[in-house]
Amino acid sequence: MNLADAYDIEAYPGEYAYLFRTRHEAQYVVRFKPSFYVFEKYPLIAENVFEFVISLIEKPAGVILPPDERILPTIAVIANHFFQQNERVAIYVCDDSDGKGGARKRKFDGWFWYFNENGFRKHDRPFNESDGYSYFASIIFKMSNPLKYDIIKAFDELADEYNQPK
Amino acid sequence: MMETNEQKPIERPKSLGRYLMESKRQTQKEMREKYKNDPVAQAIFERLKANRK
Repeated sequence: MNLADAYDIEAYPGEYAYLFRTRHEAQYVVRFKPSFYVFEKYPLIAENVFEFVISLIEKPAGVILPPDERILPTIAVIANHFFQQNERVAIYVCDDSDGKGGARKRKFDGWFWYFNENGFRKHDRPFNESDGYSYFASIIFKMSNPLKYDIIKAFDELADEYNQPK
Repeated sequence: MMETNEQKPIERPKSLGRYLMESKRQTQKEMREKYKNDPVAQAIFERLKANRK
């Protein structure tokens, strides 16, 4: 992957959001939504926790977007910018309610292969529901995060707590 | 910390996975509604188109 292939990005003023537009005229926003309540029992971590959300805002009507190899380096550029503040933690969740969660997670893992090679750490945990649904959740942070061991421990404790038999 | 309109849930969710998933879907929906009609966002998208490599 070459970061030079990334699309240009621009931050939305006053928000943790980044916009980019592809050569197929698809408009995307990547947003890091403050989610302090996820780790509310861990105040040192909580205020730096964000949900990582990608949304396709608009595309040409009637067009099926082809795979675009430039999106991955674009996400990498965005993440490098967002994680300049060392202590930040992002959460990403994959929905498996339609049975495609594994495929989504593989795609996500592919995206973050780059980050594991470039000073980031991704830590995964499944969240299993009593009704059979399951969700893959991952946390991403810089290896240089001074609270990295506390973050992993807190996330594992949270998953264990919620995965208790109901 | 940047000012945001994020609200803490009133009650602790019974299922964190489902809660996060629903939060993600809701956020994606809000993002589509907001940025599609937002003049600042549209100006940015136009700028990105004009400067596209």
